[in-house]
Amino acid sequence: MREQISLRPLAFIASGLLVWGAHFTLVYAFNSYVCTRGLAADRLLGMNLVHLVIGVLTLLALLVLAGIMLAVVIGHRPRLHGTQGEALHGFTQSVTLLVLAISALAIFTQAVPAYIVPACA
Amino acid sequence: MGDPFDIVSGIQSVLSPAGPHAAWVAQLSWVMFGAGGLILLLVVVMTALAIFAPAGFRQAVGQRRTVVIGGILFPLVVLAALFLWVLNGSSALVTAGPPGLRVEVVGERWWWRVHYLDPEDRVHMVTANEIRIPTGMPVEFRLRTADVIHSFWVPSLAGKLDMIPGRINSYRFAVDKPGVYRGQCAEYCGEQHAKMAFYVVAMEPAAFEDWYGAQTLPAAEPALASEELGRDVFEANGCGACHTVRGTAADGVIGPDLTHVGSRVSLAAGILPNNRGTLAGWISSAQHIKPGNLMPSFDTLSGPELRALASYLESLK
Amino acid sequence: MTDNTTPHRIADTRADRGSARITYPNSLPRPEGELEALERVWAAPKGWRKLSVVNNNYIGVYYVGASFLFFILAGLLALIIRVQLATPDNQFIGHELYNQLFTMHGTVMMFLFAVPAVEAMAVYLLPNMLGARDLPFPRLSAYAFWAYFAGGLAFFCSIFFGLAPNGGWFMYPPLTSTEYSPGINADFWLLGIGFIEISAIAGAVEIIVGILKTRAPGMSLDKLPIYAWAMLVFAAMIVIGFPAVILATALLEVERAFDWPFFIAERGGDPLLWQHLFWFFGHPEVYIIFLPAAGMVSMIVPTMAQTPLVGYRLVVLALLATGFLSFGLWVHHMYTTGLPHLSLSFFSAASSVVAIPSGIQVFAWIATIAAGKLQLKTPALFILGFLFIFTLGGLTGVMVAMVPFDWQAHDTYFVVAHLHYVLIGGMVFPLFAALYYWIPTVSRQPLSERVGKWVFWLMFLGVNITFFTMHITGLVGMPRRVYTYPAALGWDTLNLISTIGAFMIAAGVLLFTIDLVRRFRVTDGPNAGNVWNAGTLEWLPAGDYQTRSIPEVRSREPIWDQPNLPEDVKEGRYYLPGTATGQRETLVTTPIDARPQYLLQLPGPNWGSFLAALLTAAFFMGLTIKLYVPAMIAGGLAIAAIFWWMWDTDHGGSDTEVDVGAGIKLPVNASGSVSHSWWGVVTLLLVVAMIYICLVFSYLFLWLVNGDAWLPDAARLPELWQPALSALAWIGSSIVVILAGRLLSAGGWVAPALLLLLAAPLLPLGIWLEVQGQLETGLRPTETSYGATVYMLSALQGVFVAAVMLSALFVVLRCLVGLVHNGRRASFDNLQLLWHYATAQGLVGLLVVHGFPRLVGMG
Repeated sequence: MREQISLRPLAFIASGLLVWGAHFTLVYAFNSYVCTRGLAADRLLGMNLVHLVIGVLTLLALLVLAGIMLAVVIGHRPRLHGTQGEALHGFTQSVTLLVLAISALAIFTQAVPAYIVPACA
Repeated sequence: MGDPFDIVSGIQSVLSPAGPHAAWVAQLSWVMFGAGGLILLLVVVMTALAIFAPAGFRQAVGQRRTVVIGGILFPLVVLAALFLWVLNGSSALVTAGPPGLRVEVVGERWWWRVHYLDPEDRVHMVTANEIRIPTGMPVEFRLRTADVIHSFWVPSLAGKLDMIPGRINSYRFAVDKPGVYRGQCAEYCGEQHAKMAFYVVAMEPAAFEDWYGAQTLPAAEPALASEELGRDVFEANGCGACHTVRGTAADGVIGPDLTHVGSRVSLAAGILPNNRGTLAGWISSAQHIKPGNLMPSFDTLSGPELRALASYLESLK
Repeated sequence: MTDNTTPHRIADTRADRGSARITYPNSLPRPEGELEALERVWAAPKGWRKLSVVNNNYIGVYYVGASFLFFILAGLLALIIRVQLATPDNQFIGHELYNQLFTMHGTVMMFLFAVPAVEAMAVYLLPNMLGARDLPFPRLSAYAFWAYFAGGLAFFCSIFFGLAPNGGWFMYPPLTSTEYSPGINADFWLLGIGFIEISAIAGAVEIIVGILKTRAPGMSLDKLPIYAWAMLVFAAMIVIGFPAVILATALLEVERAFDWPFFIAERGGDPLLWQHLFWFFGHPEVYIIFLPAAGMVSMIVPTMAQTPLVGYRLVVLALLATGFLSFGLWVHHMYTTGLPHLSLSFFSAASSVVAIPSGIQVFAWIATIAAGKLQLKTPALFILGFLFIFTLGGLTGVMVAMVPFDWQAHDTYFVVAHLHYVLIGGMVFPLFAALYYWIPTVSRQPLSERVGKWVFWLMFLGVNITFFTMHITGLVGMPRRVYTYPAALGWDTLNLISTIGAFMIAAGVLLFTIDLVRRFRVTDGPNAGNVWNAGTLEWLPAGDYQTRSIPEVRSREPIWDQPNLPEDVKEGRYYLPGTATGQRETLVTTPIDARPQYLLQLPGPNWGSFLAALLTAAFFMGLTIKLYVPAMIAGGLAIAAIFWWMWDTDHGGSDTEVDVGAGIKLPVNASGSVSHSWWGVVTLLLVVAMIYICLVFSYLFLWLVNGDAWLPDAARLPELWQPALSALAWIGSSIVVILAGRLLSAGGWVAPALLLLLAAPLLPLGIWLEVQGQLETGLRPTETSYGATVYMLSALQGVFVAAVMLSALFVVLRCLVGLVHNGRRASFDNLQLLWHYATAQGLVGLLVVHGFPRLVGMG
């Protein structure tokens, strides 16, 4: 009766978009902070502060997505039975990968303006 | 407006731009309308084919491939192109050159207080509901509010920018050709939001200098007897408690500065033409024309008093 | 109609199909009296007692009806607006009424029609579609419905007394602050919205638990009807999005009532804080309305084309992506507030990406139509109308997502056009399609096809005439929310055209209503049946108990793929063909692969829900019109009524197992993390946590806006031992509760009750210590937004602690009469969850209030 109810497949399906949410929040909060505190002209390690930080955050987010993708592709298979189980596994896996793809696209798009538009104008 | 089929132009139209800022957005608009129209047509045609085309064709469309191409790849390409183009174009807009003139506009319920600023940010000249600017140079607008949120918008010249308590927003735009452009409050601000408009008058730089010089002078002395009577009525009815007429005892700051009210193109924040008749009408029935505004209806004034007052104000060129 | 032999291709459902020999869970004939017992248990009360009904078939239909009533009412308001704007300088109505009308039109359409309507459809449809006998918390649905209906009507009536809100549906302060809106009109909005917040959250809990836990055996995630996916995302979005508006309304009401300056700039507040909170809810709100509609379309299109949906996985992706990405769009409504251009561009980026999921869905529907053969019946017409209108609205949506274009279009009639295209196209047309499509499942006869075509064409042409014109009206400079406009700006003809179109829409809706009155007859006997030859479970023969037996699902369209399914289900060959325990029951299955888990005993009719709802409405109305004493009495009685309805819902886990068919023995009810009530509480806690997170965000936002000087220096903060004491009180209370749980497991019930009584006072004590510490530093909530926010964190904690203490009282009362013991402990376990959450939330608050200033001060 106390069996573990696994929501893991659902969590995996949503994971890519959760990473997008975290990236979005950080990037937006960081830019707001920079602008209200007048740090737009600051430089870090010889680079434009905004460019550097948003670049790093974006790379990190994409790396996390790659990690999740690996976990999904080579990770363990849940114990599911018969052709019905196969179908379910195939479904969750492919939806997870699709979500990862659109999340990567969204995260990348999120970073693009930082290199075109002035940070605080 | 001569052409009855011309439904896009006008003195308050996004699609008849008179400055680089508005012109760029108008161009963007037309591109997007065109592309949008084509995409809509594509969806309609695809749907019609999906319903009525021969079975073989429908079979070819009824595949996941259609979803991938039409729903993912196609929008991806179109959106990427649009997004990059707009980012580039709009960064140019927000980094316009140094201003040739700085004007502070204060939103009030339901009119616009206008301050021309000197280089040290001090108020150099005060007017209301009408902003005159020279053509050919970027003008910076510093926007703030005295009460609730308003939004400053002159469609033919540039997009809108809000006036928010506790903040000062500013932006710059230029006007190419002389003309009169209408602006209107674009953020709902209560009872008379509908009647909070103003005019921007763009003038050749030399004409602007003349106008500006005249505006900094104190009010003209009454030349006619009726105007003199009008000034007495103005003083006797306490108009000076709310309005300033530089060069007289009237120094109220609640309502618009009237020093040169006769020189403006409109009355009551862009809702009436400016002449003796409308002046008299506004004074006697301000609450009827624009219910809820701070100006009482002076409906106890006699006919002659009203006419005299109106001609005095009209003389304040 | 169509014959059952219409061939259909199966796209990508990898299910076992009819070829294998079917083994049924149960054999025929079924024992005598089984069906009669089932019918008796599920029979609805008759006559005036029907008000106490809780079954989703009834509540769902009432709910849809009520939301349709508000659609008509708000539509009438729109007609008055259109008459006023038909000509320039019109004197038809004055600005006072006009400003109330447009505020009410927006508010009623969004909060009393759109959200409730999609939720109502879910209350009715989901159990049918999932193979459940009812939603997991039927009495909660009844409560949510009645609170919404009574509260909504009372709220609407304010327009007849000139007391309706007039600050716009977005209610921007400071226009809505006491200084500029001293009347109670604004309070009507704030408290009126309370009802819809309650019913939306209740619905979300219901829907999440219902979809994850009460599906037919075999309906694993890959076989979930698309509509259920859409509603799952919808409910999750409510859980994330609604808290922002709940907090925003609470802050504004506290500002208005007690002068705590959250939005008053002179005292460090910021009007933009409201805008951030409101649109963090408000933009997702559009998708909250659209996703269920898209889900319905994805159900109707396959039936109308007689072929499975093409690209099921891509559509699931689209629903998920839309749900998430829509939370990255809220500043979309704030492009003109002067935020840095780059900040705006982030939102522009998200707005562009979110267009892709919509593209996926549109082309999935087109591909499905192509794969099958579309029958041009009325539901199909509304779907085609939807495709056109929604695509156009989506395209203008991409336009306004482009920052410079929005600087021009924002707050003009262009946006009015855009939003009506999106909402009418994205929600009203699918809803009409859905009504035409699903009415045969509740009514003795379907609606008229002939009249339906008239309704469609009137509405379709009317919408385009009204709103396409408005794009131009906006571009030539007409701002929104103006009660009149001068002639000679070129707006006259355009406005007249829009007014004519509006009356065409009205004519269409009127015709629909007449047809509804003539042909719609709710039946608990045989309904019109599967008139469209649809493939999903809601089309199985059903009564008040839904289907006679609960089918084993092996495909996404079981009726198409499992031969003879309707007859087998009706004869009782499948699971649970009767009532196993003599009560209302449904099967609970595992969330991912839908294996039967336990038998859930559902509560039946009860007056508690109905009374609690009316009393809640009375409570809110009393507060609004400042009758505080009657309001408090109503509030107290409402709590008593809730206790009454909750009293017999915890049946306790039972040792006996019952046979549901196929030799599967299931336990009756469950406790702990398997129990549906545990899932409900967890969902509710997510909502509470989001409200708190929004308040912490407000704190950080105001700090960012005001600068470090906003924070007091370390010397003016309470000394650290003070928060330490608060923390100790809360942690201590949690430890005592854990101890009580242990004793309960050991078999006692007196000691746990006593321990709960001992622990309860510690919760308010912790708050009192915190507030006292702040007061001693001289900080006052009315002086600055800092003070207001710090005390608000305690106030919110206080509200939650009050709820925990009421729940504790409930559990103690149950202990006293022996209804809580180790075998029947769900109410205790749920209380424990609430309690520990209260402790955690309190600790987070202390960390923010006492930690953050010190952290920043050090830096």
